Amino acid sequence: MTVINAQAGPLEPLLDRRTLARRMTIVLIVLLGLVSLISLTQGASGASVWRLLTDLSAGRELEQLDRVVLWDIRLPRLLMGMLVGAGLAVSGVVMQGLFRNPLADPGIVGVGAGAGLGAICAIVLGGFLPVALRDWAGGWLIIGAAFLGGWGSTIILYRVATRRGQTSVATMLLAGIALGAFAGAIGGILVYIADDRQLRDLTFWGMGSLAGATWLKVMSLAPVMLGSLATTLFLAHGLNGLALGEAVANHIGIPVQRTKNIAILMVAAATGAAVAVSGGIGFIGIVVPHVLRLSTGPDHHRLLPNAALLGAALLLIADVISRTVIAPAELPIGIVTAILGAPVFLWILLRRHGIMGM
Amino acid sequence: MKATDIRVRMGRKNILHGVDFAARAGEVTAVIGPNGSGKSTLLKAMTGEIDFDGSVELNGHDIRMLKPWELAPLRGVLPQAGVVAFPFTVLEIVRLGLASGRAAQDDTLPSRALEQVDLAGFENRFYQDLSGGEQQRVQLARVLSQVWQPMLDGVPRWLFLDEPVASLDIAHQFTVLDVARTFADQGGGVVIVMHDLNLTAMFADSILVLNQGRVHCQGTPMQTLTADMVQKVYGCTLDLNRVPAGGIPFILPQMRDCVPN
Repeated sequence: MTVINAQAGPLEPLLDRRTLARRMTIVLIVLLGLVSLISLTQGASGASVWRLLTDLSAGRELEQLDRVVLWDIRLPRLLMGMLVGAGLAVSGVVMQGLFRNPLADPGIVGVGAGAGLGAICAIVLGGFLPVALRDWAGGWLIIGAAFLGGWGSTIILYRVATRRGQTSVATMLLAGIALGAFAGAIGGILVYIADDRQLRDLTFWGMGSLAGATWLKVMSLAPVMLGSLATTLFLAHGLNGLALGEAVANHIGIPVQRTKNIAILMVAAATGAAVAVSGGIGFIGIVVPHVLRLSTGPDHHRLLPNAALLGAALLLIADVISRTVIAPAELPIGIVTAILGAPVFLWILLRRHGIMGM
Repeated sequence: MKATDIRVRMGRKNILHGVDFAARAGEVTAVIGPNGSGKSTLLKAMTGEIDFDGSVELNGHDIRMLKPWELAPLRGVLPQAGVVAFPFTVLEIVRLGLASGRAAQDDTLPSRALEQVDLAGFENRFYQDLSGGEQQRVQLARVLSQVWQPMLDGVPRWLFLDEPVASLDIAHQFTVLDVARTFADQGGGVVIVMHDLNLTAMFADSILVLNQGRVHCQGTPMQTLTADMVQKVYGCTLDLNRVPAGGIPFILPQMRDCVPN
């Protein structure tokens, strides 16, 4: 349906934005497919999917190295990138909707700070654990500690901000700042006592990476992330209503407190899991929601699935850049998302009416 | 709609001290009183927005026993100020009223609601680019789309409007009050918080006068809008006259002795 308004100003949408958002979904699915193919074909090993596909179609057996590169390295990395990108972007949409603030991102509910502190504890204090336990836990120690840290901080904030069954998002925002500062201070003490190897681990963890992707990690991440993403589909109407304020949301039939509970738990699970497996990856959670709101509007029914698709695609693009630009070495993906994300974000702000109008 | 012994306390201050109030479907019932008399608080209690002691029955249901999604099809609420986060268009805002109503499938309804509040053609304007009065009318259109039919299966639906004409020019004050009047004439119930006593006299069937969290009086405009009431409740000595046709009371503000209570 094309709607052209006689009184339209320069900012008037010419197309019904529902139609535009539906078209955007198709474009993003195609984009994600293309990016996935590029992600599978590009890498330090030089293994080419085209050659692999040709071999497979000709009935030839794959070489051992090709099989390992494709099946054990690139495919789990691709899937982990998709899940993490989708989880971070959707968490950003949900947080901004919940706080009614375009600057909110998953870090605000303390997940980032808590997960970071958990990871620092595991890296620095892991050495004090019994050797048998350390060997048994292996790389899962950092992941588990980060996930528990993220969840723990969310639960603390939630308890602080909830009185008589009502959660104040403003209190949660302020408490998140305080908890972030506290976690930063504790982390600072641990960094102070860390040795050189631990400092290097900490630095790289903080910059984020998908390099450690394995099938086991993907299988562990997938239920949490897919469950969280599926849950958000039920939040769309509630988040739309909350854009008009909690009172109006209640008036139009939205169970406000239940919506807030689900949203906070979803973000804690998705972001906690994402940060735990891939470290600190910034900007996806804030750039993706803004790009989509500006192009197809703030209706969460389309915004949430489109954010999952765009978040997945963008993180895969950043990953391809991170592992090809200085191949055979890898640039931490958090650096790439920040280098790409920050200028794009500034460009959006300069191009359109100020950030608070988003 | 029946509210019994409504008491609301905020912090250490009692806002409402046991207010009894009834409104009938098919009528426009106005709540008036000076600033801080508890009008909006009473409306918030009646719509289930705030905690209160006492009881509120809507169509025979205790509103505290109903879930938000059960209450939404029974009544629409227009709050005083409508701040919207994110750049929604007018149409997107009005559509938000649909989901809880039975008319959710009717996609032409938002446009018809906008027409009712004199905003036809505004569908694709950004809400944030509108004037305060236009935004207020968009919010009313959203409320109308929620309870589009004043009677549903023989049961009246309700409109609760908190100062709906506060930021409107005189023509649109009449537009909005006509919408409320029509809703009541078609069998729905309307409870409306007002400041303008003359408009209240013209449109209301019944008036509740609140003063300092207590009911001062309730009755028809003829019974309640008296010089004595204005003196006692508002602290103003004003000339109160009657329109020759129909005898509706009207107040002509003059520079007189007026000390707000």
